[in-house]
Amino acid sequence: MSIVDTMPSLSLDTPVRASPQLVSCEVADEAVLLSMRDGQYYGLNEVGASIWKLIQQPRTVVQIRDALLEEYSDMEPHEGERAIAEFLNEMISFKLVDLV
Amino acid sequence: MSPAAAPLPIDASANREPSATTRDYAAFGGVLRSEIEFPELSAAPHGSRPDWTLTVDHGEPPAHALTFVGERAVREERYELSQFGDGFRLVYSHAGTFDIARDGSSIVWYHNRTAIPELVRSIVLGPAISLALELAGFLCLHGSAVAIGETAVAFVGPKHYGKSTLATALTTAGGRLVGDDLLVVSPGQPPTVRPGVGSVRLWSDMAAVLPVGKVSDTLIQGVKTTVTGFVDEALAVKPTALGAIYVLAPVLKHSDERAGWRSRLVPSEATIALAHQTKLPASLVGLRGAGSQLAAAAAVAATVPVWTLHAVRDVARLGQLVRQIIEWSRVE
Repeated sequence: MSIVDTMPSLSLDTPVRASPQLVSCEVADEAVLLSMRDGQYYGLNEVGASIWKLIQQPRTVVQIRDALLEEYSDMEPHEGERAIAEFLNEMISFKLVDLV
Repeated sequence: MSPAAAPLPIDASANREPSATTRDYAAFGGVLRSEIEFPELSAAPHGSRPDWTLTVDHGEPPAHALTFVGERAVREERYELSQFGDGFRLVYSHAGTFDIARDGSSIVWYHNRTAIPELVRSIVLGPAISLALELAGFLCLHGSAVAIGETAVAFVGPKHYGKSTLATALTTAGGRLVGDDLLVVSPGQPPTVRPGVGSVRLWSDMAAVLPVGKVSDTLIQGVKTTVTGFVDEALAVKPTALGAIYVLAPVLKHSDERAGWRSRLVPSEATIALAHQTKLPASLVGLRGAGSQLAAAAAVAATVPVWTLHAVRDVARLGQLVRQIIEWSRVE
């Protein structure tokens, strides 16, 4: 069973996108976000920054996985899917990502 | 003159000599032409063209159609920033209303008889001119900086973390003071820091022990005092390339034998550290302003090494820490 199956809010086919209530910028290969809701800053590593770029438009976990598989050839599909779902769920919990 | 009937005086005084009621001051790498006297600033060279004009209007602030941008509350103090057609309105609970032109070139203070003059000046040289500078593309940080040779080292961090103390100690050890409290950084290539106001604000206990020049106030425990009188050679007079930025992290003196040590921040951590130290908080400048600040912080962090400086809080080890910082700046 995939981890996303256990999370009612996010399935493989649920589109998500970056919340409009924040500002972000790229720095080196990473990214920094500022939530205007609570004034908190968040740093994203290279993979997180890649996902962040992708979800400037609504994307599903599957679409994000497929895009990352092209970018990171050493990524294992199932593990990648799990990591993307965990990342997005954390971002949703911080209200940095919206379910569309 | 009622500003309600005329645009903000952006161009009106730009090419004139200062009048009998205005003076030109050197500040933040530019010239402030002001109707308010600033004893803490030095005079600008004769014939200078003003970068900013500060005028005083004794009427009521005009009733512009305002769009709320953001706010900030610190204990009983409250700031509110709004936008209107020609610029921004900053309302500060303890000094009244300031209108700042969209391009940052003019500031109008609507005279408030109950405002304390020192407080009005501190708002002009703090939030008001910071907003004007940010509108012109600069990154305004809460910090201090000193030039060592051809590059500057900057110290940022919250109040009481020792920024001004370190800047003063480095200046008295042969550096040139670039700025204190408000650091104006140009995020170009390379990022540079503009000269500030030529004075530092020190807590009374530090002002009493450091070999500083002229202390302008009576030393009162727990109150900051302005230190002026630095010789010309001890002041930077032109923008200086930033060699390093230190985010101060004080360490209790009994916890370590050293005077201080440093650890390099990765670019995203460095960007966040700088964004945390902007003079104008994100809550005040709103989404667009915060986005500009973050982009500027990222541009600086991508080029300038940003370090956490673990500085031991011990006056007896201050000289050792200063020598260490000078040594670091020489090897970079």
